[in-house]
Amino acid sequence: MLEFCGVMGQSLSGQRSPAGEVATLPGSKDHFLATGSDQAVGMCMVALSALIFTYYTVWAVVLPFVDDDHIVHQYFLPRPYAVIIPTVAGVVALSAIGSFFGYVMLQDKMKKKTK
Amino acid sequence: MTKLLQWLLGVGLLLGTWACLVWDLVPAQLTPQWKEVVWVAPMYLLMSFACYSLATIGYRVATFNDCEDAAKELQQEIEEARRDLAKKGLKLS
Repeated sequence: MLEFCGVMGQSLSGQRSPAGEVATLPGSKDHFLATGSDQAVGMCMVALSALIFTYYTVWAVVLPFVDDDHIVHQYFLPRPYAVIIPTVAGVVALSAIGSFFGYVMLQDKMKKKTK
Repeated sequence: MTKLLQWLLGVGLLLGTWACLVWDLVPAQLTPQWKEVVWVAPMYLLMSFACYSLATIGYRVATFNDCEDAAKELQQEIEEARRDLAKKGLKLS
């Protein structure tokens, strides 16, 4: 008896198809929009990117032309932070990706050693 | 010229212009406000690119076409194949 673990290790719960029958695809109407949670996540990402873009544009491009005693300036950090914060965020993101990558490579090496 | 060289040339030109303007290597008369804007320009372009990428990914995730019928049919076919192979002596765990 051969035994192997396929990718389809997840349980196919309760789906019993009648023997020998194959479900036919309806005409052209088998395309649906993404499920609800996917749509929510996608739209959240779009909204977040729009927010970040607008805030950063105002901060970097518009503020120098606004008088120093205008009330808008209190909503924004001092100007050098407009460069420091993205740099720090980029470094953090890159190191997170790099360490994840290194971790996965290490796991692979350990597995190969014990085999 | 390879694509990489083209990109590097473009980026080099942009950075060169930026450096000339920021460190006063060119006799350009910029008002202090424009100087501020130019100084932040590379970071601004980088941030815009990041926002654009995030927005594109989010939008594509939101408008992805699920094919529910095809998914169900695939599940049924997998189940059939499983039973068929089990009959022939192959155990899938």
